Amino acid sequence: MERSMTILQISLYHPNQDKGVFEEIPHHLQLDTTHLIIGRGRNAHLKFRLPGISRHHLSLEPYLEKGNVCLTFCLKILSRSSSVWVNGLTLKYLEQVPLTAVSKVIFSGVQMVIDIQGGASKGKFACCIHFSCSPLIYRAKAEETDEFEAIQEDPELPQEMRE
Amino acid sequence: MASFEDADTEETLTCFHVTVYHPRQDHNQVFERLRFCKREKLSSTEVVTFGRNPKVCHYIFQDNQVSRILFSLQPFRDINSSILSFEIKNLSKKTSLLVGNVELGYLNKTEFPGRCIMRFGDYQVLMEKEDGESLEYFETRFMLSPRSLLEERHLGSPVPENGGSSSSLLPTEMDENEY
Repeated sequence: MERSMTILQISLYHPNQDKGVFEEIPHHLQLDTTHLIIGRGRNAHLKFRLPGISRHHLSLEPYLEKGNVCLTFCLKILSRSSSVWVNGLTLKYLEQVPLTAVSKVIFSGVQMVIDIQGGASKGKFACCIHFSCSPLIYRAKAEETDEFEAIQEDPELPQEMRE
Repeated sequence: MASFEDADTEETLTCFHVTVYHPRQDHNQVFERLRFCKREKLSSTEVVTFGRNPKVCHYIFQDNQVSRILFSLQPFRDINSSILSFEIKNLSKKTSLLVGNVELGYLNKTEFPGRCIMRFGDYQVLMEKEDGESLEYFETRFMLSPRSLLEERHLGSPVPENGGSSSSLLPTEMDENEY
């Protein structure tokens, strides 16, 4: 009998999502134990059409804590030029944090809520992606990420995104 | 090409010194695909994998008893730290990794303590981290030990607990006084 998979229920919101920023993001995705890459690059698993996002912006790494039977996930920042807000912490390049059962993440104006639903399978996991019409996270304006800086410093921005 | 005046300031790279030993290394050529005594520069966003499958792994052990993907070395940064840290993660369903005294099962990971001997099957791997300034890149350097790393430890020669070099394993290595 096949074991049930761990499922990441990922909800996304961006104020300009009607302009196709989520166009290339699938509704469903299944992965083995490789890291899930979020970014703008061609080989990102969740690919955002936003110039302020690095080609590899952040990763979600599945792993097992000792004595635990369900996968745990670690979020790591891969962007050198911008920070990511995760559950109240502002993280920079290569900093990482384990996700909680429900995690709130903000980067480059994208709001993302990740709800981990544990399963028995250790060899693979799935993502179900939902697009929200309304904001998912409310927090102080002062904590916003440095989106402008990211746009300025990304040297290989595609031409169509600069215009 | 950028001129000397315009080039970015050079930064030292964190170096991972990896000394390997296998009791049948002289006959089985298990380390045939490792390039000894050469420094290799890697991006800090990479997950560096070790195992038998050359299509997937950065560093290959030429041995059917080694898993296709055995373990990974993952750079990260502690919050507000200016140096690179690393995690070791077991990617093998069949083989347990012993990192120092910590046993790692499938998908378990542990922070690399800066220096330790890792064991799996008959393999012994001494890993030592030499800190550098760069956060974007690090490098690896492999060395072959002619004798068991555990034996070295039991004989009382070398393998200090913290820091130090592996110069005892290869007499041609750099001056100890530099450490």
